[in-house]
Amino acid sequence: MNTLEFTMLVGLGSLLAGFLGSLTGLGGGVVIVPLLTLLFHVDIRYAIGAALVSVIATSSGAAAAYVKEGFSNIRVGMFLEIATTLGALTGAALALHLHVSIIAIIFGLVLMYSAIASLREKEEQTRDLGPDRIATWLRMDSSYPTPAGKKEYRVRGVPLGFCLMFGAGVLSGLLGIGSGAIKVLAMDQAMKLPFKVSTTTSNFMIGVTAAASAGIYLSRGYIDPGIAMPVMLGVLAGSLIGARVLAGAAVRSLRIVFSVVIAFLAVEMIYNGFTGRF
Amino acid sequence: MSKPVSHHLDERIDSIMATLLRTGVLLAAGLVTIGGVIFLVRHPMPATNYRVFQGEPAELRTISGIFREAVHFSGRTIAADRYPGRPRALFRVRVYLRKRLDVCAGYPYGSGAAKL
Repeated sequence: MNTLEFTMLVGLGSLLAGFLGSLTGLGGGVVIVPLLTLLFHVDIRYAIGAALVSVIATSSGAAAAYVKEGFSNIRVGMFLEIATTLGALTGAALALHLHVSIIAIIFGLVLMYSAIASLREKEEQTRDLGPDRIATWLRMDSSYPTPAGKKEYRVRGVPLGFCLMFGAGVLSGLLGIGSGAIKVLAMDQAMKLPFKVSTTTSNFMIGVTAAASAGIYLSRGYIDPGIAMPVMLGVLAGSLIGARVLAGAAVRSLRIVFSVVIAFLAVEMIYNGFTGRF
Repeated sequence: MSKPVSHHLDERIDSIMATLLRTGVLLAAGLVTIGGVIFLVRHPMPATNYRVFQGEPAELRTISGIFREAVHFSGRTIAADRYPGRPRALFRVRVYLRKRLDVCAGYPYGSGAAKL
């Protein structure tokens, strides 16, 4: 296989990963590492480096639209980025010392959780639990646009959210993913933000978290331009196409199919990790 | 600060941030596309073997290093010399640009080529 064929194949695979990741809300990064390692037999360290670069690009691209529309809560995002960045630096430093088989097993487990979490029913609940001292002090309470106009919401559970975000950052730095599923869990469940605000704020934060990890990966020589180039362009293009067709697609059935594929990849990653094939 | 002013400020920050993010992503994607096309057109050699982890050369491990190498178009760090069969996009593009610059400056085998 020559360079052009390899680049085209990786680019096409990344395009598909970005497209499906965007449609299902899982993000392209989570599929890129198994795709590169299991299909293209790329060393997991190169795969994680390339995935991180693509995660920064897609997160920033998607966040631009959400921030402008007023869905993302920038104050919450920037505050929690302290936790995710510290976590990402910890995770990336940890990745340099852990055996690749252990990283593959952890990756498989997180992949499995992401697949299950994506199937969870998303409900917009009205949960006015009164003002929270820390959230009020940090002026985190805000509003977001709904078909019925702007809707006010209050933020709660800031310390718990902060701790969970640190964990999300560690996984992001360790595995080269956005760990959106855990970020959403922290904001939606712990901090009681509306689901739409949680997902869009998570999207805004993912790029910053991944950029922190990417710095460490770059310094260790894990980011190869030959792989990062087709992966970044493919995932970015795929996620943009996915966002455009999102409105008319049968997302529910697609999400189930995609989750099954993800679960299968997760099992293979765990199996390969245990049998030392990485 | 009154609430309406603060709200207006938040909206302005949202708008500026969105523009900044969009511009950054477009710039990055454009730059990568141009670099990728030049690389692929000029170097259809057998694909690099990524099964074995070797790590990038020292020059590609820091932001300042990448900028320095890109600005100086130095041929010293051509990966193909160090790792036969492991050509790097960035290096190849830089060598190509260096040769072009030398030709433009009237030195077809000038300083850049000498360093190669």
